[in-house]
Amino acid sequence: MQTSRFRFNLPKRILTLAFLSVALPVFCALAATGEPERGRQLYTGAVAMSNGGSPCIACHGLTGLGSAGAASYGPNLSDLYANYGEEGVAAVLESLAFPSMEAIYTSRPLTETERLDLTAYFARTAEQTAAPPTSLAGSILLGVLIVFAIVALLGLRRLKGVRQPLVDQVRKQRGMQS
Amino acid sequence: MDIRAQVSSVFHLDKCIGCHTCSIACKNLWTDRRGNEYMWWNNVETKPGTGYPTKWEDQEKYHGGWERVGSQLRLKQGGKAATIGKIFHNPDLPTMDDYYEPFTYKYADLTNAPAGTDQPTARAVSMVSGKPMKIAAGPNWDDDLSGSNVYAANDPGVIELSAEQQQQLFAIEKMVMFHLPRICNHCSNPACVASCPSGAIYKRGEDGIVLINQDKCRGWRMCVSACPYKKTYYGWSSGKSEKCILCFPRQEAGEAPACFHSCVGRIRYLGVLLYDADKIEATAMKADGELAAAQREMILDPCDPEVLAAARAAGMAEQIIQAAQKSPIYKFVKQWGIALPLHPEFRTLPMLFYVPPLLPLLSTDHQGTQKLADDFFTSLEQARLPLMYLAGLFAGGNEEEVKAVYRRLIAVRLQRRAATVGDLAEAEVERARTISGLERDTLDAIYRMTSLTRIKERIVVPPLLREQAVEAGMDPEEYKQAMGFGSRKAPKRRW
Repeated sequence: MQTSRFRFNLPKRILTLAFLSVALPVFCALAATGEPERGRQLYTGAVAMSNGGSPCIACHGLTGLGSAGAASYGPNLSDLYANYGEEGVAAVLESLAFPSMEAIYTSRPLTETERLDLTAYFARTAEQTAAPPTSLAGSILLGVLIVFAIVALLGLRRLKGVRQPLVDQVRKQRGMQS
Repeated sequence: MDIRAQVSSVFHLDKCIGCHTCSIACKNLWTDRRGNEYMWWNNVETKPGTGYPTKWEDQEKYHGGWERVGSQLRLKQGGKAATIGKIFHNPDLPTMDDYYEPFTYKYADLTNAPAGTDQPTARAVSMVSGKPMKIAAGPNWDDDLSGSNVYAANDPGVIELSAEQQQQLFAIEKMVMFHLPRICNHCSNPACVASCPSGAIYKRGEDGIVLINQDKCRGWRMCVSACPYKKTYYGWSSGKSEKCILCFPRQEAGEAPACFHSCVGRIRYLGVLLYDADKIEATAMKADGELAAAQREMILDPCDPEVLAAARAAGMAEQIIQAAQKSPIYKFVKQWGIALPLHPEFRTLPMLFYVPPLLPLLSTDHQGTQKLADDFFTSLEQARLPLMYLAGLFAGGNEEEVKAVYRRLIAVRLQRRAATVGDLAEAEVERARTISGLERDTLDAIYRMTSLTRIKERIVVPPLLREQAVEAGMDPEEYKQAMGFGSRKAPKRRW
């Protein structure tokens, strides 16, 4: 039984190996440029990092993402590509040797593809001249103010005391101090 | 015909001396709990005056009661959609200052003060904050001081009067006032019931007492603004609204409600009325001036065989029917026609009636006195308390209603004067009777009911038949003593 099964599988294995020897270099060449759109998804967390690292947006701000790209725990990465170039960015993404990032990414490193995709995305961002991200805190404050204004408007119709105005009115008529 | 029984009352305002015993009895029995300091289920206010809470009669401010919109009756504070729209910010609630900030005194300072040359004093402290406060208002701040430039002058009824009439009202040394004791009216068309978003308020089937279910109430306070008499109150500690319960636990044990029982002036009468619930809506739709008369129409004769047959067919207990036949309220309201509802124009059909005070004895002419002769009847127009003011209180502005009552009350007085003093010609008394439209015996009966009755004749508590139910489970006496107010069950969460 054992031998017959081995014999049966052998041609399949040879075929697989042959396919891989041709296909792998082709894939690598394709991936070397990186996809900026996939990089954006990785950055924003729309697609999870394959090793479980946090998406960049959790700590870093970036132009082109609106209020959502206003995180301020780490430095803003809008100028990263312009300052360090493709090689610099690739090196940083490989090691991520910053005290607060090491703790996360030494055990959950970015894969080769992810690094390339992110670099491509940073390159694309550097070309854009989008307005700096509006501060999230500012937007929330504005929202709260609008809600307060609505409440205040509704409150205008509220009964504001009946007795005290009567007393004040008589005091005023008599020129008395309240 | 949909016959219902209603435990109803009459307050005889000529007899009220404004002693507040009723308020205290009620306070001690029901509202001496924390968070309820400000609430007076029974209060007595001086009229003219703005009352408690300030200007409660002014529905332009408080938006209480019902209004006619086309052929529909609608809550003045808005329908269901409006209620939900403002469920978190009801704009029509009286402020604490409109009731009054409850206060007490630091009595302990009187006995604990160290020895010194000054008399120790008990300072006023707020029962809300516990801090010393300046007392600026109370539940009857203007007690017995009618003519006050703040409170009497701003009485919504007084504002309607002409400048001349106002001057008459407040003339120095001729000042005129009366007391108006108020409890929940246990209305036939209660606005509080209609306004409750939780459906916690109901009118009890067998006696028409309006109650708030403390387990269902969720404290939205729509009833507080909807009740035009401002007789539901929010309990700040319990988080539930509360109101006069007409002492139903006492009534179930055969006792008179505490305010009725304690009344020094014996002004309070209680008894069962039978009425036709089918007529409620049509009655509440009448014009302001016709409401009082229409409400009388709604009340049925408990001796009419047709009514009796219908009542029995509807399953009304024989004891209730018998109590209705002995009811002094039926006599006051229907037979004698001398009791009127308070502010019928709020359209809640209040089931508490008032005998208006016979103040015209104090006239604007003749140094404030009046000859007890012919001009008594013509002088009603010159009454010290303008008829228009009283009509605004008790008849939706219909002066004829109030005049009719006064003619009867005056006829009673003239007949009694002829009998006891003997200085009136019989022809004069006969004339008074003719004008009043009442027989000699009826006038005597009014006199007896007003002056000579004992408590069991004034207050005919119907057997509410819950006694048997109580008796089955526990000693009725223990039930009566142990009955408290409030929720006995833990709140049931719905999520």
